[in-house]
Amino acid sequence: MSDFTRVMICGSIIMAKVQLTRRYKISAMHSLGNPELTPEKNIEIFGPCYRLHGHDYKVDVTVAGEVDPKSGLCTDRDLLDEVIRETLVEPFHKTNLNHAFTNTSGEALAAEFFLILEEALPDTIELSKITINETHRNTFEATRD
Amino acid sequence: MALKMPEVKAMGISVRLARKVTFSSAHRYFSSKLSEEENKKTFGACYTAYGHGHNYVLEAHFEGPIDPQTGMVMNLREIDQIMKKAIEPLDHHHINFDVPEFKEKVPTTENIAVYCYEKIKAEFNQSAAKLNHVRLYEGDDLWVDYYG
Repeated sequence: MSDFTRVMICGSIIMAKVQLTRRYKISAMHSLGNPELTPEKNIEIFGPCYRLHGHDYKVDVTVAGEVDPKSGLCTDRDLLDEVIRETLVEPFHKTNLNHAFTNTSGEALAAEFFLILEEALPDTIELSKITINETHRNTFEATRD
Repeated sequence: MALKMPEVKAMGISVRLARKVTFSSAHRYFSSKLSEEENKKTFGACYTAYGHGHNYVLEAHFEGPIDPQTGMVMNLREIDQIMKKAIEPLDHHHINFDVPEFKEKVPTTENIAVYCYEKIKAEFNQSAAKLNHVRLYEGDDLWVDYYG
């Protein structure tokens, strides 16, 4: 039985809570390294990541919301797009991430992006998770405990 | 925006990372405990005289505190070594014939996922990072998650 049917039968509004994920792309360069360590030690820890290089990051933004029985939508997608364009895509696409963040590991970026969006999204949009695809082999997730 | 890594946990944010590796193996769904008829009935097309193969994709999901010196939960190169060690006995092998653990056990996606989980998990006794779960894809339309 679909949620819509259930709504009709019960005569009262029962809204299903779902998660919706939208993917955004950010191409940017970075290098990993700890300035407090010697170059030799940095190379030992970070390997090729110590050199300046770039990624086509895929940033999956997951929001949670109840499905509106009228529209069938759980969130305002246009608003979500707008906030993400203003706070993540425009500031970081085609940039050097090291200029913006002290640490640009996938873990750090996932946490940074989560905090930025948590701050920027209106109360009507509940942020549930940020997943960063750095390459097709690595993903990093940040959530609120 | 100068977030220091130890702050992440204090701010109530959890970070998890996943790494993917691929391996290609042959296997045959066959149980010596079942008759030929029962094998055929249970395993259908997967029960053949010799077996068949897949390009498996193994994803390992890790969680733990972010090391303030590196900004990482765990170095991917270290993870690669551990994952490589786990899949080496399987990669380009016939699992039923070449892997001792599967002499009696049917090499289903479920059992192989458990095998990979145990192999990877065994390397993490001393580490701050913990294996959360593994996901094993047999193809793009079938996968198994195992949380231990």
